Amino acid sequence: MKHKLLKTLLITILSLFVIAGCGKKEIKPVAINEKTDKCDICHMAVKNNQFATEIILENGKSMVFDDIGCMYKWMKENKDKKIANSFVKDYDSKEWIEAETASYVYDKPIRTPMAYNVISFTDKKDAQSFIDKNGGSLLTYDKLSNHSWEKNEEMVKEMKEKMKMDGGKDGMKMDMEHSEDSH
Amino acid sequence: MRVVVKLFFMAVMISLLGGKEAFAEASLQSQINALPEGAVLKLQEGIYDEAIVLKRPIVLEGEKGTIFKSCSSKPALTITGKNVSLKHIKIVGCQKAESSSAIYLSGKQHQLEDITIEGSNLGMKLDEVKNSRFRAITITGRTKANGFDLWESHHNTFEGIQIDHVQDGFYMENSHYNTFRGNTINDSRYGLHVMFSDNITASKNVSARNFTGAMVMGTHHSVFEDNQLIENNQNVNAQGLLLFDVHDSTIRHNRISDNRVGMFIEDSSGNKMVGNEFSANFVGAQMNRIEKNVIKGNAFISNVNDFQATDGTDNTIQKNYWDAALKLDTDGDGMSNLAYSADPFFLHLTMETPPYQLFFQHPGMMLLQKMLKSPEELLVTDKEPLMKNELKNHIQPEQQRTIFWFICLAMIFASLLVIYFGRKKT
Repeated sequence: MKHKLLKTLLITILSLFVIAGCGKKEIKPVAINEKTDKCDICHMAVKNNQFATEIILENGKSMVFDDIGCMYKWMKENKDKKIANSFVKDYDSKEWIEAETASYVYDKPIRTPMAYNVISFTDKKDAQSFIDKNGGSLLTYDKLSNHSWEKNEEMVKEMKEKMKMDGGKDGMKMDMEHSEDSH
Repeated sequence: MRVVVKLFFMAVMISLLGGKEAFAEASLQSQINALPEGAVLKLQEGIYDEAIVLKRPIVLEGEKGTIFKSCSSKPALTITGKNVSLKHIKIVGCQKAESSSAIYLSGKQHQLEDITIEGSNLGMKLDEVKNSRFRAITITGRTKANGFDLWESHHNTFEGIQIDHVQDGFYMENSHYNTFRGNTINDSRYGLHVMFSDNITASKNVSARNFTGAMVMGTHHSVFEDNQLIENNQNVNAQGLLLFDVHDSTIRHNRISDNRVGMFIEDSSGNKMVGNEFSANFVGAQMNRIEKNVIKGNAFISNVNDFQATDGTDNTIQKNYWDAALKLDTDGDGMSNLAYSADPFFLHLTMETPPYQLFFQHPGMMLLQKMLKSPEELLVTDKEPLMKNELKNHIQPEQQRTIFWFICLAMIFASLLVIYFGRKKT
């Protein structure tokens, strides 16, 4: 009788150890507090929207970013840090998804907070239907690490040139009109 | 019988009131459409409950009590084309309307003056607007959207604009050569928010009680002068002026006071910061990774900590006045012989573990800082700090002086009263 009880107890304890050992600790994303959270790279306030991203380090520290481009800049600058998991948001539902499982779309006309022009989707189908509707190129998580992560400055430059040409003309015209008014 | 009379009276009242509004609704857009170019349409007092589109060069002028109510998803006023003028108009937003702006503009050479926008989601949306002028505009928002939102809009001027309770007072993206003069932004997230916009001029603006007075990111050749960035201290990340990725710009003669951090500057190069006053901030200035900037003739007064800095290279920092610096002038040239540097130790420590900020100026921390001295080349140093604050008389707010004299007189008067009534009468 005594042996039987001891045996059961031992089995229970052992099985508990086994269960505890097998279960990998799940790392969950931390909710964004719009009032106090700021991007670790560009220092802008992080809104709880479809562009927010997050990194959780192995020591439990979490960082939020307002644009996935800022997250990749942080990873580049902090290669020595051990990342436990990273999260992005689904473009439509704005729910957190693991960065590794997400599908991404890059297109220059997509407006994101820091002009890196990359958005994320839970489902590849949703990403594809976004591309079918608006254009852009589909990226996987693996491809993102080779992405150039350049801000859309080319567009800014193009626009400045364009603006210089027609803005200058308008400016002159307007000044002339004003000088007429003042006389 | 009485009930019948009452009902009749009510029906007449409703038809009269309703009729007036219906008349305005039905006719305003068609009246506008019928106008020749350059015509002036004077709007009478009343509530206009219709989304209006102005496509041709006309002048729309209201009077006191001319109110546009925007309850639909469309903007109350949509302005396109060129040379549209809008004067003396008030726009009141609806709680229901979520997505739209009070006024949507595109095109060029528009003039907007004396406009009041209240309770709208977004104040004015400028989409590819050029060479337009905005004057004497008041926007009171609902904190969720921006006062002015500029996208690819260039060569515009914004003057005498009063904005409060919005997300960002002025938000601009890819919008170059815009001028902001004499505007006031209070109780919002960011006063001025510059994103990837070059050649911006901001002068004599006041940005107070916001999360950040001016958030300047991604700009070249911009000028910020004579602005007052004050009391931006309510948020844990608050600062007067934030410069990130700012190059070849000028920041001069600004008064940056009572903020959590006066000026935060990072990843910026080739800027000139001259003659600014940083006073009564928790941290006067915080500088990270700055290169080839000139920081000269500024005054750092009564800040809890004058400045913190990391990784500065090739900056010219001289002739600033630091009231916390140890000064010694042996040759009488008005400049201290002792250099003044910001030790990056505390900043590095708190970057890694922000709660260590609790140990700010803790004796143990000071000891550690002295023991683990950072190498000379990493220090951001003013080699010739000024002995006297030369800015003292330059930036002296008029209002403060008036308050000072008022308090003096009040105290003299109170003392006289005490002397007169309080003495022992024999």
